[in-house]
Amino acid sequence: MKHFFFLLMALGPSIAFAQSLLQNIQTAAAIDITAPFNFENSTENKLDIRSAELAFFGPLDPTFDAYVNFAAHNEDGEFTAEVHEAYMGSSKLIPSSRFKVGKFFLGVGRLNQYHQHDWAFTSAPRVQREFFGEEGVADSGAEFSTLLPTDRFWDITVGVTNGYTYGHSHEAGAKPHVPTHYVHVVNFADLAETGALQWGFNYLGRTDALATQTQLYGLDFTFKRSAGRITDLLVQSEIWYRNQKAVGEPTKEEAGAYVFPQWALTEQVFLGLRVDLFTELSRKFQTEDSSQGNLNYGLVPALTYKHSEFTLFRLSYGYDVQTIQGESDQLQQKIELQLVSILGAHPAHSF
Amino acid sequence: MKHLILSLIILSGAYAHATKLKVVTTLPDVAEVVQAIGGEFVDVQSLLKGSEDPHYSEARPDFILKVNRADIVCAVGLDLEIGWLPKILEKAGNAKVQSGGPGFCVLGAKVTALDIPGGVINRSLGDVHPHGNPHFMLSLEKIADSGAEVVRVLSLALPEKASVFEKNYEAFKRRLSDSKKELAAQLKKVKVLEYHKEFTYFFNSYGLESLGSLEEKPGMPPSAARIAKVAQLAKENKVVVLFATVSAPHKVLERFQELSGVRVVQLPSYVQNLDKSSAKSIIELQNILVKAIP
Repeated sequence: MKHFFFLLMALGPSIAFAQSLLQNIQTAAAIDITAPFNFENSTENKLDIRSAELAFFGPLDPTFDAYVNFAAHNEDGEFTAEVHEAYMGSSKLIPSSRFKVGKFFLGVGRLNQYHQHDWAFTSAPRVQREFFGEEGVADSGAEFSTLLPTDRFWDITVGVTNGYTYGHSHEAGAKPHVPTHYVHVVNFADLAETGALQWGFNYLGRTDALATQTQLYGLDFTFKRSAGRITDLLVQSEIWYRNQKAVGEPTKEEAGAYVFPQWALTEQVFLGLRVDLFTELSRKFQTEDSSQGNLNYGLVPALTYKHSEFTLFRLSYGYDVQTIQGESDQLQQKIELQLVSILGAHPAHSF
Repeated sequence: MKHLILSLIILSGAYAHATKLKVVTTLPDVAEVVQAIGGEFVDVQSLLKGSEDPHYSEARPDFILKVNRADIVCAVGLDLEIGWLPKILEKAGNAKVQSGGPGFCVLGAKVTALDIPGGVINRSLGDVHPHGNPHFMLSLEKIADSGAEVVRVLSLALPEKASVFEKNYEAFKRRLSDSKKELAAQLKKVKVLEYHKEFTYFFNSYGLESLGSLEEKPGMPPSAARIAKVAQLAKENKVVVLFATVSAPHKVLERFQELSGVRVVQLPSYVQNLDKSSAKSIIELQNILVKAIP
């Protein structure tokens, strides 16, 4: 008994110190529940947890910060937990700059920089799925951003990541010929009463282990008009072009875009309509060497009810048509319900 | 020799002008406090115009740019700007104005806040502020208290001017105190209500008896039952006015007015940097609020 008291006395200060340190760690959890109802294929029509995330972040010391995010995803009926992001970085060490080292979502485009539950719609547009994967590209490496010393806002981000894998993967991958590298140049324009526009130019390149060379060029736009406590008009868009050259094969070229205007009907109800476009520019008829026209287009109206800053419900309908010259059109329709819950630290109001 | 001395004097004046501290504030109210204390040694600009709801503002890139160039950033604090200011500070890459830096100034640090929640605090209580009600810029006494933080941070940046800042602060406090006496003399002690707890400090400062807020939980629109209950309470207690900001839901306010017969007035709760606004200063805003009390 005496030893127990001695132990408690010895541990007391260190426990208190640890508790006090933990107060500096912010925690947040996000639950993303979806229920897709496909018209044409009903095999996966069920309500399920798309992802559950747990994040910890805070300062490591007066100079560095750290962020770690664990996510569990439902993949073919089984929940796979993984380190989604884990990095340390600083916005204090180099003037006007910030950097991070570790695993993170690449700082390109708009959707790729946000977790799915933070998107303004439920599912990824075709261009995102094709070029970045449903969730986006997360990889290990380093990213550096700097604000230019100009009168206008110019923010430049450059990054290099391992590139062993690309997109969502649970495999180790293979050593690439050229790692994933990217640049994102962002500008901003204040349009006074009309609103404000942020736009960016993107480049991403990579040559994988099989010497397949990939280059992506893109533009991203975010326009917002605020009224009181809400954004009463949001217009978000990305336009991307990709070329891929595999050894011994002709260059494959694809392009896609989406535009998503969303209006506030009330302080809590928002109505948006996403228009998706995607085409394989280099597609040719199999039997002759001439271009085969093709276009995938989609319309996705979405109705969002934000009960609070931390809980939202969304109902969307997807109408997706694949047209290929010489072939019959393929139509896919689905209704999706989504519920997002945020626990813990107050989410950041990014522009 | 005389010319040389004259040139040196002119040059030193130009240098003093060039070394003005660049101060960025979140709100125009805070900018006014900083200007009053910093005087000719500060160049102040506010990120918000005062017409926005600072709970819901966003980390706009133009705000990031302004904070990047700042020597000092002053905020209200008490979590009022929690949704957007930390993101701005992070993206601006300016170590001296980040939390823990010498140029980070939180006025709420020197204020004894009202409505500090007790017991278990979680979001079942609504969008509560664990450190207390952050809307203290509507109390002239609390504004005076908060100025001590501005003096501290400005003096740290320009120690040789610390006595000037202290003198300006004392003068500023006297102006606020004199205005408070004049305004208080115009007020009747009536019973009041507010939609969101944004006017609590104003009511408290002038000794007005407030029956609380129409919102049951901060940030959550009241239910029909809550509106009816508060309307009944307002009638029974002879409440004369309900204060709300323009961002409060109009239908809720209309319904309350219809049920209670109590006058509802929509008012600014921050100083506004807008041409059309009549609340361009702390005292002008106080005048508007005082005049809104029947």
